[in-house]
Amino acid sequence: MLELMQWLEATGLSTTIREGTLYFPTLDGLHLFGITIMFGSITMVDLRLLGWIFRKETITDVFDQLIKWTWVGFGIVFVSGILLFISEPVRCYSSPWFIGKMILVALGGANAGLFELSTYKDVRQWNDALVLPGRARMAGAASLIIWTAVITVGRFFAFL
Amino acid sequence: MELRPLFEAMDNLWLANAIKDSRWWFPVIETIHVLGFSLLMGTTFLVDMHFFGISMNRQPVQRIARQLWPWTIAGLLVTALTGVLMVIAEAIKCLENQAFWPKMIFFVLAVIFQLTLHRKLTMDEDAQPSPAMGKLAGVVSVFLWSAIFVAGRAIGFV
Repeated sequence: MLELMQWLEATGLSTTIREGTLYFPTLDGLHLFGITIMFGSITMVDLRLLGWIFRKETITDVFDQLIKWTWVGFGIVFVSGILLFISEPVRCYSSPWFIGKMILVALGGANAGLFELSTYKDVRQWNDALVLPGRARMAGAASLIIWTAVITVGRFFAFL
Repeated sequence: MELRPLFEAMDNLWLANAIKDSRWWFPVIETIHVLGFSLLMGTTFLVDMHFFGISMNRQPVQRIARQLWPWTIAGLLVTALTGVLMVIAEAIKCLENQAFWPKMIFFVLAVIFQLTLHRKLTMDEDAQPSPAMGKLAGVVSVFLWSAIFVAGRAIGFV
């Protein structure tokens, strides 16, 4: 695996991003910008599930109108993230912060997928309920915690 | 105005040294800063994009903006507080940084705009801005916060 990372680090694309003055800061900025869109929209949905925001709106009104922004943010985060990874694969591979971040991202994705494919299926039954079912609130709380952890671990990876 | 003595005083604060001496404080503060401005920018852009018909447009803008307002303010407070802590920890670097001052100027402009015109156009039931006026407000808002964002990122790199 390490050899694969070393090979990747020696490719033209990796060298170009690493050695250019503007490529890395621009990609890093785009990555963070994508995070604000993705995390911002996910957080709104999570807080709605917890009943802390948009209490006047139904779950479907919030979810259906914001999910497209989550995907826009994810697209930006994913593409810029892959390019950032390509620019320093050996450092990423050997950092527990990076590995931890990837595991947390997978967890966040699994939590979101599970919510959409199971809990959200019968949303019509609790769309405007005053207190949402426990599993919907749990999904929101888990999402909030996981994505906050992703950002935290990601920032620590950059610093330490 | 001579700002150097002020920044040197900040640099000598007990708090500045505590943050500088610790491996963890700065990353922790910076992480909270990122979470704070995600909330601030996320909620603000959500209202701005409403003027372009692409966010929560099944509801009127005032209805969305009013429900988001406490979260925007919470995000602003968290961002500002952690921002002040980071300036204290790196006072001299900020003072001499080419990106820091543009960021502060844009920040002041953005906050003034947000608390006055933007707030009136998005939250006042009687305001009823024309579509063109609304779009203009959205563009100005997105421009100002994006400029802060770009300048803020640049502080670490220039």
